[in-house]
Amino acid sequence: MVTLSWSVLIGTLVVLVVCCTALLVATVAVRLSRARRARRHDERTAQVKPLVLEVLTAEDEEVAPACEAVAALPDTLWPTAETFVLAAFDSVRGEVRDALVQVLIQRGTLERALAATQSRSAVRRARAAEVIGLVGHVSGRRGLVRLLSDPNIEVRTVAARALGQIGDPHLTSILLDSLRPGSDVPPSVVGTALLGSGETDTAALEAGLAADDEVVRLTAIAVSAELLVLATARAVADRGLTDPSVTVRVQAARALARLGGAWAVPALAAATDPTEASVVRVAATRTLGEMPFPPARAHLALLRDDEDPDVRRLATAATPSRETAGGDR
Amino acid sequence: MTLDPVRDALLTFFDVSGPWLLLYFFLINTSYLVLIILASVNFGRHLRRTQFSGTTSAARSPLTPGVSVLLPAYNEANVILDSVRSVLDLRYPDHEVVVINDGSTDATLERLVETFGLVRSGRDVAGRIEVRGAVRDVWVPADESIPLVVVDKENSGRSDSLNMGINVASRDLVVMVDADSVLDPDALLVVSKPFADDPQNVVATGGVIRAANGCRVVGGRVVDVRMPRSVVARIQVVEYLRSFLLGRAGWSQADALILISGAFGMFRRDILLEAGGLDADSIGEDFELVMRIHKMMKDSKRDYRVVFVAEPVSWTEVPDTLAVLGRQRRRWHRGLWEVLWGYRRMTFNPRYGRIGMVALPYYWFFELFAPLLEVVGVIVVPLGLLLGVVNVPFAVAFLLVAYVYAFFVTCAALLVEEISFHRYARWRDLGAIVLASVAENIGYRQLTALWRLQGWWASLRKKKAVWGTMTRAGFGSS
Repeated sequence: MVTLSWSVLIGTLVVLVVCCTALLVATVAVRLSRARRARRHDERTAQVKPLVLEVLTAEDEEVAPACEAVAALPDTLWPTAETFVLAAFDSVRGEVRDALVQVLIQRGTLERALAATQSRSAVRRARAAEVIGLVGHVSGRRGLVRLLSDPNIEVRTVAARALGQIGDPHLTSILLDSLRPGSDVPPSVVGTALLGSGETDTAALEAGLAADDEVVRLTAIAVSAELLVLATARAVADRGLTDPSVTVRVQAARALARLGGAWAVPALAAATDPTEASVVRVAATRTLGEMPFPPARAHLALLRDDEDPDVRRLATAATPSRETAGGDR
Repeated sequence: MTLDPVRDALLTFFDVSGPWLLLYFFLINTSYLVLIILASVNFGRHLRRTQFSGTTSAARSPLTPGVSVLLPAYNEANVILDSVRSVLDLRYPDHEVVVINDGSTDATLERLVETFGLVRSGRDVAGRIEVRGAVRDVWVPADESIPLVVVDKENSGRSDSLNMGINVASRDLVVMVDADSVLDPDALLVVSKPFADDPQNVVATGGVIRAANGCRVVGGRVVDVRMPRSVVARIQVVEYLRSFLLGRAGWSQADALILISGAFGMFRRDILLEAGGLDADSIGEDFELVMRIHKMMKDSKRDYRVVFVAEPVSWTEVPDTLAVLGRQRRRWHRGLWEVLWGYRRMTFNPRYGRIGMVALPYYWFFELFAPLLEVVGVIVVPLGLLLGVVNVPFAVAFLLVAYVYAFFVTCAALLVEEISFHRYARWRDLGAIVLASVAENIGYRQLTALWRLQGWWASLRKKKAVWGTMTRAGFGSS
């Protein structure tokens, strides 16, 4: 068993005191270094910010001279200016954005980002993908597609998001492929990227609806609904509502609120069958409640006495009886 | 009367238990250290991802899952408007606020009705979870663009109110928030991210709760993070840093998180309905709920994840008087015991994986029994000194080793905090944290150990559990 001697105790104490001191010194060093970096950043920001703001608020003929002033910044100040310009890209459109893209190309930002897609550092590759996406130049597309197969999950995710910012509908199947098992790119990122293009490749979405992987089917349905791809509506109703995955069936029931017509009512009504999972029944009832068609109303009337309180509530809210109709609201 | 038998008994006790006690101290602090190392891995990954998390993209995306924020309120007339406004103003593409007025006797409901122009909706709120408090009315804003529902019900307690909220919630995700919590603007985006990243598997997420005492709150937002003035609250800041922030991040990294704080937890609504909601009779209802979800998912052999999000999201006022702190710690420990006992069959049961084989045994040995050993030490060591059976320099060195190791753990936590979130930016606050972590060993630890033991004892005696009143000084919000 453990035996304690005076020397063991004192030795342990000394080691612990040294470790505590080392940790406290490290904490202070981290803080001092952060403060020094912040001070330097503030100094540079003070010189750069007014010039960038001038570009962002410029109108018509003021844009070019303002951009020239930013492009002429010395190399020591350029990284700070570049950060500001890229941060502003989310909210800048039109002439100013185009002019700023030219400034970034002129100062080699895009070229450096393209080169950094081959970097050994995952953080640099992710940063490069982000920059290419923000600049939105088609020359970066090939590099981003390659990064979708990057070994690092962060890089793959940023590349998927960046491809959405480039906004090319031909990338639909490539983005859906990035959801393959083991890729771990979040479906919400891929879905949002597909929405970013504003239009989509219908054939690729239809293929996505029939994919083996649940996440791909889920994303294809969500994107079809948000982009109102009516060509996929029947497939969403036929395949989606009978999908083996509950999550996909819920998504399909919801999607039909945007994609469905009177033709979808029988499929949705079938999805409210008591043998179906509760979440699917609730989603289908909600969608039926948003439909103005008499068959939907008729079916909802049957659900007013359903055993599931959520289904009952939705059905009652959608088909108010004479007694509860009107009132305060 | 001779003291020899007592002296002999003490000598035997020290001979037998001394090395074991030291081993226990070593193991408990080493386990903290392991958790901190795991947490720093978790933070490292989190911070790396945060740079490219695409929060702005998620905030705009129609694919971001909807969230119902449940705000139970009992006599919160002073804070309810700020709370509701601050939650409504959170950056999120699709969220609603469900206030459950738990039979308040003050003007909580009247203020909500007047400010948000509420009208009776006549909505049926019966749900799949049974609730005890009878509903008086359901109110909604006349202006339908405000995503707010107020359920006015008879008083039946926080858990029952939350169950009512789960029934009423219309979004896929449900977040439970205390009416007096202050949330960061991106709180929902940050805590819902794991659900968006892994929609099939993530069933619950917990966010970081921090002490709001001393912080400057403007318009329902923490704008200046500072250390509190009260020593009791300062020590709790250290505790929150070490145990709640780093401890839980460590457990999450080990994929064995069994506790999500009731002050800010997000759940999939379908999972909550399947689990039957919160146990209204449990004093540790947040812990009990997460354990029930673990059990349900493991029993049905489903893949799932409970995730802790390292980002600070919610600020809450911690007790700054010993009386209130004592009530809180008695309640927490009682809750801990009741849940551990209730789920004892999961402990050391390989069927429950790391939850059964690592997390639960840890909570039994290092959370439940720790105050018992501490109190025994507080009684026995002075007695031994009095009777001369303890070698004084040896005892002092022994005690110093134990407490300096505890301080070392806090220093490690402080360094991780400094590298990662750096929320206490003033030098004076850093000094206050260091001093508080020294001060907690002098009286505070012993006192909390005693309170925790009292809570445990009260439960063993089947004494009726009471929540007690948390006297709040308020944030001085402007």
